[in-house]
Amino acid sequence: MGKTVLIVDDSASIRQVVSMTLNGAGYDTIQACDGKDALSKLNGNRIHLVISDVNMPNMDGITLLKELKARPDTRFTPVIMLTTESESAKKEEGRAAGAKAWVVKPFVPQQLLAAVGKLIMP
Amino acid sequence: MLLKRMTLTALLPVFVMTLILAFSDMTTTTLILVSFAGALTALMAAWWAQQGLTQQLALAKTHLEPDIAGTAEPTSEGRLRQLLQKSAPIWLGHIGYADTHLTDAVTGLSGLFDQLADRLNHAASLTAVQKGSGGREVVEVIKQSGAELSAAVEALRDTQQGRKEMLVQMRNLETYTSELSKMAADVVSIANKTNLLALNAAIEAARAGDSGRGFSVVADEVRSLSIRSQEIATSMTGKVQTVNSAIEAALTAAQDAAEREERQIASTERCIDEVINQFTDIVGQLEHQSQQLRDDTSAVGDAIAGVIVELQFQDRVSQVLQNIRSNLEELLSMMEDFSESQFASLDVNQWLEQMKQRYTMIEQHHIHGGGPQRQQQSSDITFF
Repeated sequence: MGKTVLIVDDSASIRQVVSMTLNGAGYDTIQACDGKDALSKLNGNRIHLVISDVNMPNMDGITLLKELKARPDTRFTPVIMLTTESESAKKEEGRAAGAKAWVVKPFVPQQLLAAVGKLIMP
Repeated sequence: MLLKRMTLTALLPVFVMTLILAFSDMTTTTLILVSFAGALTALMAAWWAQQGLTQQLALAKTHLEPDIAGTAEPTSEGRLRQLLQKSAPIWLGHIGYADTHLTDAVTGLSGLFDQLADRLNHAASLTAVQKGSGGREVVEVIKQSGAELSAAVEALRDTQQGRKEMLVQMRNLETYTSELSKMAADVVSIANKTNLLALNAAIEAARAGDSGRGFSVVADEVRSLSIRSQEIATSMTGKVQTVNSAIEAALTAAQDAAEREERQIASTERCIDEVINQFTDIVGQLEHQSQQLRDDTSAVGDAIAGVIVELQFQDRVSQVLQNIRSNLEELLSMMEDFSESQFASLDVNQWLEQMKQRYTMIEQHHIHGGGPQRQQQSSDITFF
């Protein structure tokens, strides 16, 4: 059974291409459209890694990241931020909140897989 | 103008009353005439003032009517404000439509592409299976089979060599039988000479008379033995010739068999070589096709990765459109809520700076600054 990755992005097409990339490499995926939706998807699912956008309605990626780090069951779950934000101040905000990597869109599938593979094995 | 008329209207009765007071010592007729003139003057002044008010009201109505009808503003700023108030919701609607349509289309497209990529991956996995069964492993199996068949042919050659050695031994037997024939001939010759000797002995015994009678018996026995030897030697010669014929026949049969075997082995070797060569050719073609399939699969994989990168443009375009929507909505809200004085004190640079702070992509900053429209390089990854 493969490792499960939670993909959080308000863009359905981005969720789809990330999911396609990961499924092709043997990972299972769950999709959520924002931070709140992501937190609701945590219940009952064993999540090994989270890939999250930053700018989203309802709950943004940085808030989600802080929520994940505050929960005992997801405290050690690695989080990759996948965003169009490339400002170093934003990156620093992500690092301080506990993100493991910051990937600026558009992503190249092999490089995203390499980043995921560094944190978890399929 | 209105003020002037109203002032004059107010001053006219005062002026008339002053005249009345001035002419208070006049006659009654004169007073009546003066009063009439004053009243007429007052009426004229009132009519003049009323005309002025009517004109002002008409003018005010002309100014107010556009406001009521909402079709135009007297000032260019007002017209601009009205234009923006009317146009901005339309622009917002168009932007919203474009964003929704783009999102739906790209989501649908990426869904279809997902299915396409699944099928390509399936085809690629089949190629990998073919590679396992039709590639190098098969080449190895065929090479091994060829070696085993060659070993079998070699075993046949060993058997053939044994048969050749047996033929040599049989030819040696022929030599021995020839010697036996010669020996039999020698025995016949000796028997003949012994017979002749026995005959001479019998003649000499007869000449000796009674004293040679015993010797005559011996001579007869010797003669009988020589005849018997001659018969046996003749029989031996016959048997040796029979054996020689049998050996010759066996040698001929063995020689024929050996030649047939030789031809069969050579034919088998040629068959094996041909089959192995055909298999090698087929495997070579399979290997070539497998390599082409691997190359194609690799190229398809690269193309899929490229499409995945390109499909992400929708997210970027959508963010730009959402930013424009937010800015337009804010501008519209300002148009509706701000007073003239608030507009007068609006800090345009601060407003532009607020716009800038909402940007998420480096391209937006470049465009805002009037720079070239550079695109974000893909996959800028930072590990923490």
